[in-house]
Amino acid sequence: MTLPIHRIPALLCLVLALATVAVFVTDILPFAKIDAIGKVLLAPDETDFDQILFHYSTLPRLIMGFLCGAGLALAGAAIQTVLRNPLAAPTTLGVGAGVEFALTVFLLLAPAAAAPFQEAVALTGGMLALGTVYLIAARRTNATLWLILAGMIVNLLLQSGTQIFLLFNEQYLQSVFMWGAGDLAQNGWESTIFVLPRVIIGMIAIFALSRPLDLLALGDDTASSLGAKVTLLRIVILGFAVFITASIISAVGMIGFVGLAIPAALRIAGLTRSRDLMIYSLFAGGFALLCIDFIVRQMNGIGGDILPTGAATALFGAPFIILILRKARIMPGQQSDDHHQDQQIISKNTLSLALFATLLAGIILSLFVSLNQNGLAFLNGADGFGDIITQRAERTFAAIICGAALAVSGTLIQRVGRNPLASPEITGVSSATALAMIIALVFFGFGQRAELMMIGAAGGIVSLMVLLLLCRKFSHAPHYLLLNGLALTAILGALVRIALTRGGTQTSMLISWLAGTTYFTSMTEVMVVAGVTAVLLTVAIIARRPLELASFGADQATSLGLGINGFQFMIMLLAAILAASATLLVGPLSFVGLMAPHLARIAGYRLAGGHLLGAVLIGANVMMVAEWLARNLLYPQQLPTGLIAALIGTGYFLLLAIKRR
Amino acid sequence: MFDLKNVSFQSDGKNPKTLLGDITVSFPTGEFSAIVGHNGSGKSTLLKLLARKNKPASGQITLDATVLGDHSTRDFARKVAYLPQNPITPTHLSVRELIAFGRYPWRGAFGRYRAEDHEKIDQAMMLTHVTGFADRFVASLSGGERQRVWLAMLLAQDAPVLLLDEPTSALDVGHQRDILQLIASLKSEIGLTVIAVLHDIDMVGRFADHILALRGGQTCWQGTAGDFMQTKTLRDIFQTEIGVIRLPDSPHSVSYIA
Repeated sequence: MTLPIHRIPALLCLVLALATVAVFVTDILPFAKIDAIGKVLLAPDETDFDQILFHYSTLPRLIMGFLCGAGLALAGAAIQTVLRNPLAAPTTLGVGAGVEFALTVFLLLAPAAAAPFQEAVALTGGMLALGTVYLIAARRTNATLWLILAGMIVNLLLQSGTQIFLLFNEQYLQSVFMWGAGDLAQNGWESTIFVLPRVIIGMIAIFALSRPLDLLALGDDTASSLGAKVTLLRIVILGFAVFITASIISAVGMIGFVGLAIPAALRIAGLTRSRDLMIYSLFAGGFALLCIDFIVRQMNGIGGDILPTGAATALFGAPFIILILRKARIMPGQQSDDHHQDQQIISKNTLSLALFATLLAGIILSLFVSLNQNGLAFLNGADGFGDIITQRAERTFAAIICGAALAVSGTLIQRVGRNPLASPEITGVSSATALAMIIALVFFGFGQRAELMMIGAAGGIVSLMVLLLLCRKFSHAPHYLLLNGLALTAILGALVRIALTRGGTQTSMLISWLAGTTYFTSMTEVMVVAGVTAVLLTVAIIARRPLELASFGADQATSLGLGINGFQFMIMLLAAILAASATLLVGPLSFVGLMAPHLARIAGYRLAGGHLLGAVLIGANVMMVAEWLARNLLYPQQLPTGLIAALIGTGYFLLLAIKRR
Repeated sequence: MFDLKNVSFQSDGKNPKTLLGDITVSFPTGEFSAIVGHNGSGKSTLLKLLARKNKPASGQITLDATVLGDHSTRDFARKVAYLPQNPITPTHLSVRELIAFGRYPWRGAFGRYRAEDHEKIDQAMMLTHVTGFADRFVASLSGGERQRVWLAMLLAQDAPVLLLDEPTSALDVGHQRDILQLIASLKSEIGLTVIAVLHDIDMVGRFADHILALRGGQTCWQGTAGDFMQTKTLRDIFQTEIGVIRLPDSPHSVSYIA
C-alpha cells in the first residue's frame, strides 16, 4: 500500500508520533537505568512495585489510549465521509450518549444472566440514537446543520436521561459517573484485551469498504448511478463505526472530540480522499489521545485530583474545534428553511385566543387534577388543600414563566440573528448559565440560590457577548452560532462530570436542576423571573418595528436609518437575560427556546410582534403540559420538566421529519 | 451634492488590494449620473462608498459640504436612499409591509404612521406599478417584480438622493425603460439626484445626464451623454470593438458590437 504524501497532515502525524515516543521514553526511562526494559515489558519482577505498576497500569493505559484515539478518529472520519458532514462524529451525533444510556440502563436493570448481551445492547443504543438523529435531519434543505442540531438535542436528552436514571439508583452514582467521564486508568490487561480485537475488526471492515466510501462522497445520485447500493452501504459503514465507538465506550466511557477534531483538522489540512483521511486519522487520533492522556496523568500527579481523560479531551477539544472550523468555511450559507410561497395573509387572532384559552384551562386542570396509582385524582377540599395548591401553583407557574421567557429569548435571537435554527439552548447561552452556576457551586462553594442566580445570569450574558464579538466578522453565520453552542455544551458536559465525580451533598440537586426540575423553585423566584419576563417582553413588543427591520440585514437596516449594531447588541442582551433567568428556574435543557418560535412561525405568525406573542403562548403551553406530565407520569417519582419538554421537542421534530416523507 | 476628493479604497485582509485609486469627481445635484465600466472595475465599490457601506482608505467624500461620516445614521437615511445589487429579501413580509419600511427614517422605531406616510407609500406603489400585488408575499414575486418593489420602498423613503446598484438588471426591456423613464422624470419633477450603476450602454445614453466611467479602479472618462455615445469613447472605456449609429429622426444614438 503506497501512500501519497500530504505535507501538512504527514507533518502533523510525525509531530504527534515523536511526542508519543517521548511519552513512552519518559515512562520507561526509570527502567532503562536499571537495565530492566525487556523485563518490564514482558514479564515484570513481581517483587518490584514500580515494575508491576508499569506493566499492569501504565503500559495498558498507553496502548488503550492509542486504541481509543485511533478507533474514535477512524469512526469519526468514516461517519463524516458517509454523511458528507464535516461536523459529524460519534459524539456529536448522539452515538456516544446512546451507547452510554443503553449501557447504564442495562448495567443497573438487567439480570446477571443477561451479561452476554451487553455488547448487543450498547450497539443497539448507539444505532438507535444515530437513526433518530438521521431521521430528524434527513431531507431538509440544510441537512448539514440540522444533523448537528438534532445530534445536539438527542445528545443532551440522552445524557440527562442517563443522569436521571442514576439519580433513581443513587448508590451506583460515583462509579458510573467515573466511567462515564472517560477514565483511561487501567489496572490490568483485561480491558485492553477486550477492546483490541473489536477495534481491529471494525478497522479492517471500514478499510475494506474504503472504495465504496469514496463513491458515497460523490453524492447519492452519482454513487447509485455507478452501481452502489447507497442505503445498504451507508448502514453497513455506519454500523461498523458505531461498533467501534460502542466497544470503546463500554470499556472506558465517553471520550469526546477526538472523533470530531482529528478528521476535521486533517481534512482542512488538505486530505480529501477518504482512504487517506482514514489512515491519517487513525494514527493522528491514536497518538493525540495518548499524549493528552499523558498530560492528564501528570496533572493528576500534581493535584492529586482525578481528572478523567474523556472530560479533559472535551475541555481541550471544544475551543480547538471552534478555531479550526472557523477557518474551514465548509458550512452552507444562509438558507431559510420554510418558504411561505403565496400563502394567504390571515389574522391569527382566533389561534391566539384558542392558545390562551388552552393555557387558562390547563392551569386549572394542572392545579386540581393529578395522576396516582388509581388513575386520575381530583383535588378536593379535604386535607392540606392550601399547601398542595401552593406547591402545585409554584411549579406550574415556574414552568409557564420559563416557557414564556425562553420563547421570547428564542424569537429575539432567531430574528436578530436572521437564523431560524438559533435559540438560547443552541447558541450556548443556557449552557453558559449552567456552567457559571456549577463552577460557583462546586469549585467556589457558593450555596445561596440568589447568589447562584446572579452568577448564572452573568455567565449567560458574558457568553453571548463573546459570541457576538466572534460573530462580528461572520455576520451571524448560522453554523457559527451552532458551533459555539456545541463547544459550550461539551465543556459543560465535561465540567458537570468532573464536578459530579467530586461528589458532595449537592450533587443530586445539581443533576435534577440540570435535567430541568422545577422542584426547588420558590414563589419569590418565580415572581422575580415573571416580572423580568413581562418587562422585557413589553420592551421587545414596543421595539417590534426595528425588530422587523433587522430581518432586512445589516446593510439595508442601516440604509433606512437604524443603528443596527447598537440595536442588535441591545436585543441580544435582552435575550441573554431572559434565557439566563429561565435557565435558573428549569435548567439548560428544554429546547422550548428553539421549538416555540419555530412552531409559531410555521403556524403563520409572521410579523415580529405577533411572532413574539405566538411564541410566548406556545412556549407557555408546552412547558405547562411538560410540567404536568413530569409531576404525574411516574408518580410518586418526580421527573424533571426540562427533560419532558425536550422529549416533546424531539418528538415534534421527529413527527415533522416523518410527515415530510 | 456628492463630492469625492482623491478617494481610494482597499479590500480587507492580509494582502489588501487597491480596488479604487485616487478618484476625484463631483456628482451634480438634480441630475442622473451613471457609473459605467467593465466587470470588476469598481463601480459597485464606489457606490458603496457613497452609501457609507464602505469606508474610504484615503481621501474625502462630502455630502452637502459635510463629511460623509459626520451625518447621523437617521439623518443620512433621510438624505440618501440606497438599493444594493442583491438586497436580502425578508420572505415573510407582504409587499406593502416591505414598502412601508421606507418611512422608517422619518417615523423611527416608535412613531405612528400618519396619513401623509400612507399617501407616500401608495404613491410609490403606483409609480412603480406594484399596487396590484400589494398584499402578496415578497417571496412569491419574480426577480423583476421584486426589483420594482425595492424601488418603491426607496421612493417611499423620500430622500433627495437615490443610489442604485444595477436597478434594472432583472427587468425586461419594457420595464427597464419604464423604470429609467420614471427615475428620469422624478429627477426633473422633484429635483431628485440619482447615481446609478448601469450596464446597458444604450439606456445610459438615453437617460443619463452625467457619466463616470471606471477602468481597473481608476477614473477613465467622465462627461455628458452626448459625448459618451461616440465610437472612440466607448471603445476606450470597454476595450471592445463597439460602433455607434446616429438615429435619423432623434437626437439619440445606439451602439452595436462590431
